[in-house]
Amino acid sequence: MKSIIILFLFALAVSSCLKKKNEEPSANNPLSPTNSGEIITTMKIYIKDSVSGNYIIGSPFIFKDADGDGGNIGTYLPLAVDSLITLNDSTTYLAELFLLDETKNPVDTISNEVVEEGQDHMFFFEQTNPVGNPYSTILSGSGIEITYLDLDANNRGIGQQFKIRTNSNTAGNQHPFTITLRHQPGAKDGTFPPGETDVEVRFKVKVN
Amino acid sequence: MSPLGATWPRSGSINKCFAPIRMRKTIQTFLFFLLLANGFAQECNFTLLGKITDKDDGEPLEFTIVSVKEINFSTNSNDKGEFKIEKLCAGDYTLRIIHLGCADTSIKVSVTKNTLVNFKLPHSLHELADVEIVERVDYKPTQTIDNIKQEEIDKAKGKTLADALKSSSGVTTLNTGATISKPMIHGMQGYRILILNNGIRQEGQQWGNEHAPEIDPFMAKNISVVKGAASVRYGSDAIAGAILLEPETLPDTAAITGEFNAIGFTNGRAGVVSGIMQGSFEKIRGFAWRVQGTMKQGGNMKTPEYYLKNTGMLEKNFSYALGYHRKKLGVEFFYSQFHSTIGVFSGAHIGNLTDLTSAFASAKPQDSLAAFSYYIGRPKQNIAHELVKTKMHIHTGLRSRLYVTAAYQYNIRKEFDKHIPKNSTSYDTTKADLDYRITSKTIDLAWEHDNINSFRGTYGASYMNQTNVYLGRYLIPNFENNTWGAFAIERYVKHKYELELGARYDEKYLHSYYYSNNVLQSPFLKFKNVSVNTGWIYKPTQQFHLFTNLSTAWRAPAVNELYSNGLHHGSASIEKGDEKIKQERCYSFITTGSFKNERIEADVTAYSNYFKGFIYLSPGTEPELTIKGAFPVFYYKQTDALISGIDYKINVEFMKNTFVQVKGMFLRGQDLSNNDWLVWMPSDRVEASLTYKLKETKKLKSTYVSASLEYVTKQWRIPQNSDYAPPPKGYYLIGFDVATKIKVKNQEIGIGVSGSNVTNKIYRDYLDRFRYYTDAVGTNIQFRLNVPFTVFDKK
Repeated sequence: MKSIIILFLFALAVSSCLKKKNEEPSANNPLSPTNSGEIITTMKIYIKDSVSGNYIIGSPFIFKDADGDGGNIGTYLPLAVDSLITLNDSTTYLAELFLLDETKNPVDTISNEVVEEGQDHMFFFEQTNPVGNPYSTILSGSGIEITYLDLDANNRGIGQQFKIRTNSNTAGNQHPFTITLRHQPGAKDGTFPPGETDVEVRFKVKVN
Repeated sequence: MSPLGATWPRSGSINKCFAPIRMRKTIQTFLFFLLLANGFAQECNFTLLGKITDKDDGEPLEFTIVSVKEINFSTNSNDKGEFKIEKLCAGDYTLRIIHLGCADTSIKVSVTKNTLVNFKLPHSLHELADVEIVERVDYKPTQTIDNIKQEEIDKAKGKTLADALKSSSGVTTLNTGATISKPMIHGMQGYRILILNNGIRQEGQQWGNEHAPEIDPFMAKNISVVKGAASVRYGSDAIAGAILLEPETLPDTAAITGEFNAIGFTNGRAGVVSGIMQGSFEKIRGFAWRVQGTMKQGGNMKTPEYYLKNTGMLEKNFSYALGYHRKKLGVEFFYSQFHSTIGVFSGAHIGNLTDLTSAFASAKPQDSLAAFSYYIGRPKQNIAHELVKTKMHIHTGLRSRLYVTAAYQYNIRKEFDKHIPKNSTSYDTTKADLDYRITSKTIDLAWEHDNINSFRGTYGASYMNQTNVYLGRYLIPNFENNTWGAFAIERYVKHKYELELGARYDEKYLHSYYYSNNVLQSPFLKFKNVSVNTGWIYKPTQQFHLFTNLSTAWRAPAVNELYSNGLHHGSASIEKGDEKIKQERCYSFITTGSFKNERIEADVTAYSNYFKGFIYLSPGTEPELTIKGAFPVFYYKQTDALISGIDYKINVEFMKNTFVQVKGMFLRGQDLSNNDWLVWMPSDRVEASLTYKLKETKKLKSTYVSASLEYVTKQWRIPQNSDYAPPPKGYYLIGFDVATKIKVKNQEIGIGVSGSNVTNKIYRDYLDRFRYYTDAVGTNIQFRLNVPFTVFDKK
């Protein structure tokens, strides 16, 4: 009887220790940040005149947070502090958004995955719910109209590509232009509330 | 639980150690009897006097513990070796006599009149049986110590460890939803509390507010809370106190016994089974073993109005122990593993501050309509903890012992984000987003000596080597931490009072490794300092004892306070450490008055802790701009602080078998430098309960019915600009508990039913980190069954 129990305990002792996996590095050799999981470091907006096809001055407008959320703060490029996008009145522009992980080599274009999983993602402008078909929204107080140019598998807008239309009444002040990427797995209904925020960058827009 | 419950159980050796040699009726005692003879009219007014002397040299043996099992009473002999037990009813009593250096022993005494007994104790070990006595809880520390009662442990069975500790006044919990709970002593938690699991300091990732202790409470037979600085004995971090979990001592009788527990909960539809089996052998005396295991599974918890998606949990733990004890030495081996998977409420995982604000504004959280399920998806925590321990003790003389303890702990903490990355084709979904591995190796030496000219003491040294690595995202750095310390405690023990002085010196070497702007940083920090404790126990009467401690302790900053730099998804905030943070020092005063007679049991504790350089999280003025939007930033800073308060617990048998208990606490945490309150401090609270104990019958034993009302006030003492949402309002909760023990053959099967929040009250608690998102859980009824069993018994 007792020898059985002793054997049993011994077997337990030998067999069941938690194993340290080989993957575990030594303490003095931490994982470098480039080895960490996917992060989004950069948002780029390319804006071109829909008629001439010329990119406007300052395009692409960039917000770069080199180490992702947390860590060091992000900055606007190319003009370090100025997040202002300047447009002409009564003009239609075509715009395209890119999200990048620049810690990877080669750079990982996250926005491609966003479009691929379009039924789970949606970009919002000034956090407003777009209306109509195709989706469009008017930036509050500015008269600037944003129209979604892309569709997901359920025929809902994604917003990676969009049209900006200004009119003669829109000239004047700066207006906030916040771009938010919402992750809404299984819950996307074209409105802002479901899901959670993946990216939120605050630009400003002004019409001359 | 008898006050001697932790002693090595013995049988059949009553006459080996000592014998009552005679009833010495001197003239004095004869006169004494005559004088008191008139008082005998009341049948419960007998006095038992005794004197204990050393058999070898005839010296009186002071500070010998004499306890009377039947009335759950114990006293000490004075410096003449005498003791006195008053107000005894006529009857047979079992006296247990304990003196260090001698086996503890029982003797039957028949009391029909005032009685005098003399004991001669052979004060040498060679006359003892070959199996010796170890571990004795035979004197109280000078600190305020609260042993959690067995009924309270039973009631908390299947819940978290922190829930079991809440029955001690002054202990609250810091919760992350319903399944993650950290104990708080006097408003302090995490690194300021030491948890000693089976004598080993629990080492995991204590820095996280959502990191609960990785311990199976079923392993512990005794759970106690040391309130106030316990640094000298247990290590410099124990500024706020210590939590001690001890398994039952291994058996020494040739039998195989065990216990089976089954517990069910209505909320979360959770079930727990836990078993323990232990034995020792007749042929190899002194050899004993134990195996123990627990499994627990629960599903989505429910608030009064909705289920909380992804709040299930699964836990599997086991441990075993082997012990071998001989005359002058003993060796013990202990091994345990803890595994848990805890779902984190998915509605509390948010993207940024905008999400948090809208979560708080909405009446019901996202994911609140979820139905019941046992499925645990993302986000979740996956934790494993392994402990290996060996302990050895050797007698270094008639009245002294040396203990050597070595332990190894390995802790894996994996946390999975709510979503897998967008680039999911190349993504390994089994890979955790946060992944820490911490390995701790400790060695402790302690040498203790029993009474030598009224002095008894303990001397010790300890060393720890600890390494931490991260495999996922960076939040805290890799580090190697080497700590050593040495302490000395001496106590002067007299009949009416005891004085203790203890001092400790510690050094800590912290070498951290992390990347900053893609450059490897490897800062090296060294901390060293002294902790001192003076304790005083004053025992003017048998009923009233006063425990007072004056101490100073310190704590080296932890890695997260120095180097953390990252975003917390649950709280939408960025926390930043500061490598310039210095050690914090605490000066504390704590005093407890303890009164106990036949009908009243009362403990009142008052304390005040003054901190120089209290490390805390302070909100920054400017939010930080990230790709996810703006986040508030919290910086680790130091301030001078004062935390003081009063805890009380009073139990009165106001009618026969009917008890009223009132317990509660007042606490004030002040930031002295900024003339403000401290954040995350428990608000004042009070709990009253009414218990009726039923008469014992042939079938039923220890039967009681109890109802309780808890009232928690609103915490309005909060620092300005430090929170996203105002503290929730105060609330009251109603609970009940019914339990009995049914005699079946020789076993006593325990059953019980208890309920919490029985009125299904909607409330949120200030110390629940999920209060921003969801209500606290609603009614939960617990059913418990306890079956002790004997597989084999020589007798």
